[in-house]
Amino acid sequence: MSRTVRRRLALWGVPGTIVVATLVWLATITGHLPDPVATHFGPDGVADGFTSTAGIIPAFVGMQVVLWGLLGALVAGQGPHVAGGRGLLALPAGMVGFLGALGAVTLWPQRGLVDASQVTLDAATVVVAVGAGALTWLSTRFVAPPAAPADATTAAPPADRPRVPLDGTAVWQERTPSGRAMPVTAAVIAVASIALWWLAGAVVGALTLLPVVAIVASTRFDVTVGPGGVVVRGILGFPRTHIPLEVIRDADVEAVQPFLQYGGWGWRLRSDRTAVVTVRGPGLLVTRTDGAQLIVSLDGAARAAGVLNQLLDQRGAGHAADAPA
Amino acid sequence: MLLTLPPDDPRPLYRQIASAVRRALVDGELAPGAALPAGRDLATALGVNLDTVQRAYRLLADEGLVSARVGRGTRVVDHPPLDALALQDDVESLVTRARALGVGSRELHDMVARAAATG
Repeated sequence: MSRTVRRRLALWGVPGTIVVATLVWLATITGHLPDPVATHFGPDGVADGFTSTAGIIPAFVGMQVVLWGLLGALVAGQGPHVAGGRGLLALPAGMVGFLGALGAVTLWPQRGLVDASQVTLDAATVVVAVGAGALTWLSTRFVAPPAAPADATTAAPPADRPRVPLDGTAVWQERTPSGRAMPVTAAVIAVASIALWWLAGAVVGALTLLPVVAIVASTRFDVTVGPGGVVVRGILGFPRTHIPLEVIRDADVEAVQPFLQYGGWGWRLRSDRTAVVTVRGPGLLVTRTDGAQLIVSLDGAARAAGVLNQLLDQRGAGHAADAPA
Repeated sequence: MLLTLPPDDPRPLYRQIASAVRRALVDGELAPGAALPAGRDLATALGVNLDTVQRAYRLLADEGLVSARVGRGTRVVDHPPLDALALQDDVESLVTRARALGVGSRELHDMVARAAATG
């Protein structure tokens, strides 16, 4: 299956199928629901918001279409070489899947009821809806095409790039410097989670921990450079990216200002560049043969770039030595 | 942290990796208590099998230089024997050379013991 077909399936095919399936399902179930139907529930699970059955389909399907359009517009603009691209392309499908599942867990218990105020929603069913959304995202991620392959090269980096003399081959590793903002934000959200846990029950509190996990996963990263290329991995094991040496053109140092240049810290995506930035300071800038770039906050960015450019020189010399005379 | 692997080393790759870690400890590139790269990251960055890296880490653990704990990864112990470390590469080179020359381990052991006694 070509890359274009896979991309269209991920952005259009999967979400579109889920929207149509939701529409059909809602159309068949509407006749069995009370009017009005409960569409909002308080922290105690008791219904406290109602909608007429005529408004059900526009409400749920409308939400799906709006979010599909918004997210799709955001992610479709990403270049094909951006690290993490598959997960991004699968986001609209994941959101649409979550909303469809939310509709299902909300409306299914109300079948055959005369009075919708009798229904209560178990918070665990919300977890089911979140899980369905996550599963949809994961499955669509496999449909989405992997990052476009770049051309391999043995050309040496330009002479003005930093270099570190090496005897043989080498592996260099460092952890990104830690900023204050992200741990503080994670702590604030964790406190809010605990408050919600106390106020609204364990499931709601647990759900609000999800952003905390996402933030912790984006707080610090391990960067490893060697003859196999560059590996950047979050301290929780994700997100992770690997750029093989064959598709790296050169390495350099560039100053990083997370908020001014990338809108914040963590794993940031632009159409031309992936930025793994945590604090103001030096950054290792890796340029691929297809022009896409990766920049990572590192105190030892100059040394990392020097090691990487030296390894790139060795790669070129090695190929020259292997060439027939 | 920089690990260097000199060229033309005839030893198996896992021994070269272990030797690079020892050298980093002696040179101060790696501090006592510091974390070693995650096995998968080191394997990818070196372009080798994960098993090769894990073998190197197991060798270092057997030597008492590192300890591995689930969730914490592999770390250098707090008080590694740095003095003996500096000799480890020489010992491995001696053993490799002896094997190439057909000198058995018992004979090599006796030679070392005699040299140490007269030194």
